[in-house]
Amino acid sequence: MGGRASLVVSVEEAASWIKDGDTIGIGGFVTTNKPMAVLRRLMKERRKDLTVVAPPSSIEVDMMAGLGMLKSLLTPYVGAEALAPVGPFFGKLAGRAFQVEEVDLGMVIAFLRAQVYGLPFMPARGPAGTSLPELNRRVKWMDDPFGGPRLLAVPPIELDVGIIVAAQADQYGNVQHLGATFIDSLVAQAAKKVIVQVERLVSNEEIKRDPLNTTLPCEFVDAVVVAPFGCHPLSGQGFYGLDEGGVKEYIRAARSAAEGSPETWNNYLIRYVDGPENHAAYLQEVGFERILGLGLENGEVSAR
Amino acid sequence: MSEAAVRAAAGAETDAGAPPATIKETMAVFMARQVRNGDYISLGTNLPIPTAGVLLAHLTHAPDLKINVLSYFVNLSAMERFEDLTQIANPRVQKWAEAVMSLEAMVNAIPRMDLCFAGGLQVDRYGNTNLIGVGRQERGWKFRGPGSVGTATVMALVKKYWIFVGEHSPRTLVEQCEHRSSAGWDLGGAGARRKLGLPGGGPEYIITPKCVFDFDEETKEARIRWLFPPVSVEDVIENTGFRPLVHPQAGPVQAPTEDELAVLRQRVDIKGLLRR
Repeated sequence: MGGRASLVVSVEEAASWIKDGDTIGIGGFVTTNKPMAVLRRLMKERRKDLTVVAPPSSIEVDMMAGLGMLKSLLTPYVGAEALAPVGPFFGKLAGRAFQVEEVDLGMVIAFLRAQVYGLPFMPARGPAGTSLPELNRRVKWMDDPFGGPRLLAVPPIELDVGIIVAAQADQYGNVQHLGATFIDSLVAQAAKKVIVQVERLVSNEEIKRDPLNTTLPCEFVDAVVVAPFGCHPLSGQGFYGLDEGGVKEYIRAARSAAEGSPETWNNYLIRYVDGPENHAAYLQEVGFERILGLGLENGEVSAR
Repeated sequence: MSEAAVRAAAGAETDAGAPPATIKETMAVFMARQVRNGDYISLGTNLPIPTAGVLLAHLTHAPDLKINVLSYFVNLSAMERFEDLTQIANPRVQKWAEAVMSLEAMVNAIPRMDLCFAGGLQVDRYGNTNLIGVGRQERGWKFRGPGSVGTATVMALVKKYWIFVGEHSPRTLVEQCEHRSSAGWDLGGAGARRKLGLPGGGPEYIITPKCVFDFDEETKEARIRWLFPPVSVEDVIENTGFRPLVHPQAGPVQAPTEDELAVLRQRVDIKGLLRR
């Protein structure tokens, strides 16, 4: 019979796995390693009623909020640090256009860990004394069976699809981050289907040359999407830094829309989301000059 | 190039003509002096002034700091300069990493950490903080904050932490936080955290552009400890939404030295974020 199957799929096909109403997990951290190529496709197609579970987030979640794609959001942060202390659409629409189920990073980890461990809940005490338990109706207080102060019971969340970013993978789905892994393994293990967006595809021999680098073996992966510069305008670990100008351009457009004048935002959408037919066309719109100016140059570490 | 031109090109302004320290620089220098050599510290998201303080300590009296810049475990004592205080989630930091940790591993390490930082849209007299927002979701936010980041879990577990606010006003320093993203001393008293089951040591200071509060040993109420000149005790009381205690030795912090400012400006804050 035939050889080993390839998991490589296009951005478009990967995006088609996510349906209206799904619960999706997104990897990365704030402005680093967010799967923008796949998410931009979901934006172009205006997927809706999504529940998004993610560690600290930035403009990717803010854009989904602005496009009316969210039903519910479980992420401990939406902003771009000094460039935007709070995501413009998130700040405007949270609680109006979609529900925020308030969490901190420890709670996100607990929700996913309960799923991975197959437990009815994970106990947590970090949120004791905070408002988080009142602002998240999934969690309940419980007595400590050993007699200590009460604990928070955090139930599992199963993700329909987890979308993460890594440096490289082979066609069979063996994944190497070559850097920080954030909570990506947890997102992958808590998901029914896992899409890994990579900067480059490498051979199986290349993976086996350094199996210590493998962060997710193919068992945990369902699709490999090859999208160079696929986190733009956010940063891709080991390959390129944040496109500050690109993020500022987004923030300006989103702020003006949030303040009631949608023209700049509509132009932004036409240029970067709705206009480009695919990821290559998006990069072409951004242009070589901007893209090639984002390298981690000057002797800084980059993926081999 | 002449020596002066070289200095100018490097942004050095250490001679007698150097501009005086800004309030942000003075805050960073204050924090740097409180950091102990050997401490294990995690830097926080969007807190450039505390980050500058830790790095200044590291490059002066604390070469043995152990620092998590999110996933990257680093020692930066030999670092020539830090490029960007504005984005802590920055893959460029990987070039200094001695280890790269998952975020789960980092959260697991928090009980070992000596110092972390919490920000707040609101902070109350017992050091409870609010990054969630002002108003209520079901009635529409008056101001929606960015969210809790890791603060609930981190501040529950870390050995001690400092609360940092960029604005000192009755709007930020409030009688009671409308929501809480991290619990400090709850409703007061030295046993407050034990009752909640929070094992960490709690907030040690609230650092604002006007002053540093510590907490009364018994009641755990915020207490004016140091002032950033020329701020007076009256000025602090007038601009604080709760009535703070005043430490018997409350007084001005010592001004930054030329050496501290030189390291801060040339190696830590090269873009001048704290000079603006």
